[in-house]
Amino acid sequence: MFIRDDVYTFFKGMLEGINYFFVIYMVIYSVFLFLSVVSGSVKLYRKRKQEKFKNTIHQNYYIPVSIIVPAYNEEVTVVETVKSLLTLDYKLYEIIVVDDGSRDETSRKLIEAFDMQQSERPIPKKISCQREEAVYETSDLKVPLTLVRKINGGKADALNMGINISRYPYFICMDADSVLQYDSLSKIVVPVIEEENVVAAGGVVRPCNGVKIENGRVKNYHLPDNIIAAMQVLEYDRSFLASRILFDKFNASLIISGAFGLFKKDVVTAAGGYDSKTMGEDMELVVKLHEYCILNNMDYRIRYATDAVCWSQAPESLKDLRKQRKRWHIGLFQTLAKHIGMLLNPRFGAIALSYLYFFVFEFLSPFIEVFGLISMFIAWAIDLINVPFMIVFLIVYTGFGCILTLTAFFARVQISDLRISSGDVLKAIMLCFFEIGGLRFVMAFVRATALIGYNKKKLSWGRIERKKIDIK
Amino acid sequence: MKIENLIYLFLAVLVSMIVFNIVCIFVFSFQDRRLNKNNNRFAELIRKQMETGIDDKHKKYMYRKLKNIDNLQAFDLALEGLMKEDDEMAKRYLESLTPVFVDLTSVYIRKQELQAAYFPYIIKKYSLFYMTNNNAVISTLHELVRHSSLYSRENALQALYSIGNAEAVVNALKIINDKDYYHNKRLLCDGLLTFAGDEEELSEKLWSHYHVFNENMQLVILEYFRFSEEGYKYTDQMFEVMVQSKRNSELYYSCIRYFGKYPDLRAYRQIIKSVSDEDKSGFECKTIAASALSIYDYPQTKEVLINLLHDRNWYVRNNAAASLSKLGVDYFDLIDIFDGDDRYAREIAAYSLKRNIVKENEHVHKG
Repeated sequence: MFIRDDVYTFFKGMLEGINYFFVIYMVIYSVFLFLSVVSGSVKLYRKRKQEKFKNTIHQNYYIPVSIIVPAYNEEVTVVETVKSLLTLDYKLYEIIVVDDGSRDETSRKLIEAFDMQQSERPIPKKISCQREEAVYETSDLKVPLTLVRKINGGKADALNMGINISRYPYFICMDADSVLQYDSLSKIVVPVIEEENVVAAGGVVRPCNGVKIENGRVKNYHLPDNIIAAMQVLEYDRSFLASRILFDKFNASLIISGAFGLFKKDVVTAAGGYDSKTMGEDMELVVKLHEYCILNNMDYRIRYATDAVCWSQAPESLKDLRKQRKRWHIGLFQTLAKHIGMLLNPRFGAIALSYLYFFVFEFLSPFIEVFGLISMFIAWAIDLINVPFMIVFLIVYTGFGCILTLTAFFARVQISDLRISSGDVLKAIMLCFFEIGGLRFVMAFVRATALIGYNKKKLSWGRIERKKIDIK
Repeated sequence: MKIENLIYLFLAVLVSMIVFNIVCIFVFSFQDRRLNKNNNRFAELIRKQMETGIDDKHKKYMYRKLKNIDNLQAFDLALEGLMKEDDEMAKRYLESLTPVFVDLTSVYIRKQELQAAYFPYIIKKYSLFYMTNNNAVISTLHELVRHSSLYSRENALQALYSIGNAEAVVNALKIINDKDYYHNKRLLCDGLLTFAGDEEELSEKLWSHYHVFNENMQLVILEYFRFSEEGYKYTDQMFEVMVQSKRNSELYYSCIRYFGKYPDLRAYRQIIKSVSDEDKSGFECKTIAASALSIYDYPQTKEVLINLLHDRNWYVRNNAAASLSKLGVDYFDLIDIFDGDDRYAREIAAYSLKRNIVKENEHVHKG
């Protein structure tokens, strides 16, 4: 291609600058990823050793917990979800389903399945939320079950209603399409037992696609047949090890997944509950809790329970995955924007750094990655790139990402005492190349364009196609 | 730095990670196979000894073997299996192996905290020193209670509860108290409730040392008496604590909860006084008291509870309504509430009465 000398010089200078930026960016990210995956694996292996030598709490301690299940058009899964919650190996808990004005038969299915009776239960409105339309209860089951049907207000609003009506000092938020493992409650309360100042604890969310669950126990585990879901299994493992465990060490976790987290009710209530104007209400709440506790000089901890497991449905189509990631990215943007005061603010210590990580490597990364691809294309077009070198570099970088992903995957499989077939091992090895080299870039593009027109949907529930989970 | 060097660095990290993964996979699979092998070997050996009777040679052999924690784990698994086969014989075997475990205490106390914590777990699991006063064992367990690891402490406490020596348990609590360790109150209270020895002796010792402890530990003791089967015997002491405690303290609330289970007229008057004093009683006190009053079926109780239905706090109103239901009040007793202007009081009273009816129906249905 022919271009003028001065334009060529300009592009050359610019691309050199971009080059340096990318080298620095990738080195920092890789070092961070490496450190976090290694320290995460070490922590998981140590945990395995702790369990082996019974450094665990193995008596019947019971912290009372309210499980809040916000539901919107969940008629396909809600009854099974509640049934699975009734099999949990824990005594002192209650189940609260909040039907956020579903247009399907969510409430009716529950009322019929569990023979629930309408009640006039007054609800203390400690956190503001949309008005309730009806409350149904039954105490005829292993634990009390309550259904609140309310005016539609979004997931955060439904969770706030759940907090208001809950009886116990701790609550768990979860999704209506998720299944808690039989021991998940006793595991997630362990941080509360271990430390007095724990205000929240996050559990581990794993895709349940391809998993057979009986009475909350995994009976058969293999990677899903669906390639998109299988790639997400690897991605979940990597992201869990890549940031959460490391940040947890410094009390700087900014995310507890909305699919499974434990919270101290009075602190959440004092902080104002979930923000119903944010799509990423789960992250926003955790960031808000940090802010609230630090500004009020509270001694507090937000922890991870690495062995408390929740199985959740991962999207199986690119369309659903795109919707989900778009929503997550908007949520991330809203949360970061709302708490921008934390950025590099020394008062927040490690949390300010954690914020910076999310800002640069989560929020800006799709823009940076897409920009990187475009500049690579321009460099190639004007013959400013050493193609063989670039290929070697990309292969090494992809290989690096793949090995870290596989480390996270195998570490998780080993500490969970899961048996996987050699076919699954091969599948994981192959898929991680596709995930790092393909899906990641597709998702980068999706996330980079996520903010276009987000305002219109600010209160909507994220919908992906629901399937019955393979539970008995 | 040249860009090629960066690639070499990435490659080096990549290779080391692959090696790390492969080593981990092999180590874990080797450990699992070795555990299984040792488990089978121990099972065979123990079975043989159970049939022929334990000799000194076997004891020496077991001491040598069980010094290694991996062997202790395999032994644990083997024994667990044998107990399912013949519980009595396995217990007799363990009993004759007690001297070996006494000797092992000095070995395990020297191990890292994570490994040391396994030994008291074994003591508790098999009730190895039940009702014995072996000083070496007890002082080793006390040493473990001094560890900063929660799990060492907890396992050691569990072992002490299983031995059933009240003095040793109280001394362990004193260690935690003096070291000012955080040890969850619920864990301690639930642990005390599993004490295998003479409960009365434990209760006496806890009371006699009550004032030595800090407030957290005192709270554990009070909660223990609330849940203990012997709890009803200590109303005098509890009342004394109640009178001495500040009205807004956790100790005071704990006493109210206790007297919400074991009725006492003196305490009743105190509770009524607490909730009636608008200036001094906070919502926490009123919430707990409203619940506790449900076992005092006196006219004054109903009057106080009806009054609490107008409280600003939802939990106070809720507990007052629940207590009124338990005391058997009906619509006519609450006519003033239903005819009154206070919507919140009306709603909670209606809900509580209706709920009571539903519950009764459910009982009849089940009955």
